[in-house]
Amino acid sequence: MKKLLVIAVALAAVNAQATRARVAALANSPHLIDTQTVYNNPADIFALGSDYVNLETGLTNSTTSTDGAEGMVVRSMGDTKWGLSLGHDSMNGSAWGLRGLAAGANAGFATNQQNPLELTYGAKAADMSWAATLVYSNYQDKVTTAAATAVKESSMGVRVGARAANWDAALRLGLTSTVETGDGSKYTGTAAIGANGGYMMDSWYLFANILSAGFKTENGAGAETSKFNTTSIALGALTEVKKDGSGFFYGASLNNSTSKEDVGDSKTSSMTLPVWVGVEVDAASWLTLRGSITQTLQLLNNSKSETGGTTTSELAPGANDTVVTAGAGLKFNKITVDGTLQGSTNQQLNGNNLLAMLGMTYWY
Amino acid sequence: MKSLLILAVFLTCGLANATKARLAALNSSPHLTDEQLLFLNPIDLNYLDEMAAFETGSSIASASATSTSNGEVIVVRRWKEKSYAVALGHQNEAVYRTRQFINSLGYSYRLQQNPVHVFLAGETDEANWATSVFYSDYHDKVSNQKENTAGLAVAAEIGAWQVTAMSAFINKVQAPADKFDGSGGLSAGLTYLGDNLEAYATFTREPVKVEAVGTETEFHIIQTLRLGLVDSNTKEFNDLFWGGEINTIKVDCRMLNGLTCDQAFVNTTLPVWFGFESQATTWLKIRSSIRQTVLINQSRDEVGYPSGYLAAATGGLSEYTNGLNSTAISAGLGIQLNRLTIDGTLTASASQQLNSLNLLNQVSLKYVF
Repeated sequence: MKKLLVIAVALAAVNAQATRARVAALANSPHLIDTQTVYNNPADIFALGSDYVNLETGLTNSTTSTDGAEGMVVRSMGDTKWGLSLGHDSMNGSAWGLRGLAAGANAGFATNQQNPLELTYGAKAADMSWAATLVYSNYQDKVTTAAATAVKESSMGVRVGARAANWDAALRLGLTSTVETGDGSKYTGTAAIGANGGYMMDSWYLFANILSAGFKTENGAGAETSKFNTTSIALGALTEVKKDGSGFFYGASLNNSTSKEDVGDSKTSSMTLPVWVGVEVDAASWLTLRGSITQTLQLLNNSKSETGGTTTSELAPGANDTVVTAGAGLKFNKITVDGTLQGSTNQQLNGNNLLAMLGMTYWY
Repeated sequence: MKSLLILAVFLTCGLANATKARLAALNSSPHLTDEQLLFLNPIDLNYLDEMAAFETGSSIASASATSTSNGEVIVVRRWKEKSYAVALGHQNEAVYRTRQFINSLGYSYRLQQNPVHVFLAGETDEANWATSVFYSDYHDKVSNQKENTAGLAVAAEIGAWQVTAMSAFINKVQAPADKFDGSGGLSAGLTYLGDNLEAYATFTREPVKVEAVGTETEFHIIQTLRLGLVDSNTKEFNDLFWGGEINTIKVDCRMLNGLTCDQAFVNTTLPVWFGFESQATTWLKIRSSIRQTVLINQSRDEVGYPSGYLAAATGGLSEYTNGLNSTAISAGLGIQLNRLTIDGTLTASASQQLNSLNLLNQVSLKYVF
């Protein structure tokens, strides 16, 4: 059930699919605006200052939220912008995300979106900008009949977002997410809804996020084998102090999540209070260094799992989860190259331990 | 003189001339002008600097070699208003395709042995022209093994239009038990060069045969058709581009493993790509691109060709109306030291790591005279 909890927490985070190297190094803080936060709020394409091409290194078939190859190009046309994204895997359509939770019913359900395509369009008027994104993927193998192999996969979703000087809002709708295996077993995602918003009050950024997603599975005979649903809510606040090309921020949020699986009669709930502190500094004209730490305060770090009415796990408070991440950004003329420092966990910085999660952005 | 204008633009922007590493990092986008693309369109010889480009790699030209694993060099010079080039070690694309296709069926025919390509190009008031020939030869007189190839390419450029035609009219390998014959392969291309837009169409037809003890045991005909568009914007030593093409490959099976067959493999895709190449500093170029198939990704294999060579072939009968994930990132660096450039692909493209164990691959060295 720990995986259920991890997935639910990740789904609850506003920027669960946010910038890889930069936002990973900055604790996935909700106040960040980056080429990757566009996948949460499409209106962020207007907040980035110029058109760009963002390319994230990685594998053709991702195994985690941060190791898949993807890229996006954004281009202006007058007061409007359009964007094309290739390869970005959403949490709801990934083997490492929601679909992976159905692997117990059939291993073939743990299938990523195949050749995901996203089209974004937005416009700006006065100090407000808005944008919308259409997400699509499709795959069909007409010959294979193996029971644990996906022969069909499709997904469709919509994101809309808006941003103004002191507020932002985004809505994400997962319209369809289906996987079918060779023996006729089916995974069907129920309509997923995610919404988040933020408001600047003096120097504080107040934010909220709500997410509801789920799925059901049935075997080749049409019998239901699982029915899962997760709901999460997060409320928080953070502040950032900017000075001489550096930014220091800290924040906290109250996270509540509930996940339920009806066929196996299991339930997981959690209530946590994570805090984070981070800094991003222009160390030189060509170098930006960044780092952050996150930890759940033991004041509120509860989780509980039950199966068939029997408690299988209860932590109050839970185990250590302190994470430090550091990163560097290299700025060359129109290009930025970001990476996390491999030494974040092994404490080393040398020729064999330098940058990971490499991403490049070309601004034009 | 549009060609003179194009030549001036490329020379000043420093984006002409490249290497295998540069092509790989930029997904071999057809809009590139590159000495490596001479082998597909010799007309580009008119737009290259005088240079010598050395590609690192092995001298293994057996069936295990890949299209980019061999060491090679190309030298480009100008004399009396004509351009000349000689390439040593380059595995001709048409020859490589046909031999590695038949090798995927379980054979192990060697690739070209000590291949040589020679190019000649010139400009007139009305048109630019170019031609090239290639040749390779090998003979083991004790075991009676042979390999030889010969081919010709011609190209012309009139206004904004380019046309090319190529033929590998000799493409043979004699092995101890059987012999391969891929002679008679043809390819043709038509390109329109707009201000920022390039439209192109290419067609290839390559018959592949194997004969054992005087009897034909393999006969396949490989045909490809590509129709595409690329838009590129070059400004101040920075290039941003995106493109897409309809790409169809059809392999007709007439004889497979000694048995008559009347089936085919067909794969139609719509890959799109975009990327950039930027002058990061006075001594460093950074380049990267992404490529993925979208919307059209169909294949049908009635033969059961082995996986590995033909995209979407699985080793058995298969049919996909939308195929498997194909997203791939490529990245690379060019380090410019006066007249010398060192190019390489970044191994981080898949590993995501940049350190002394994950740095540059497919390294090449280019000297501009």
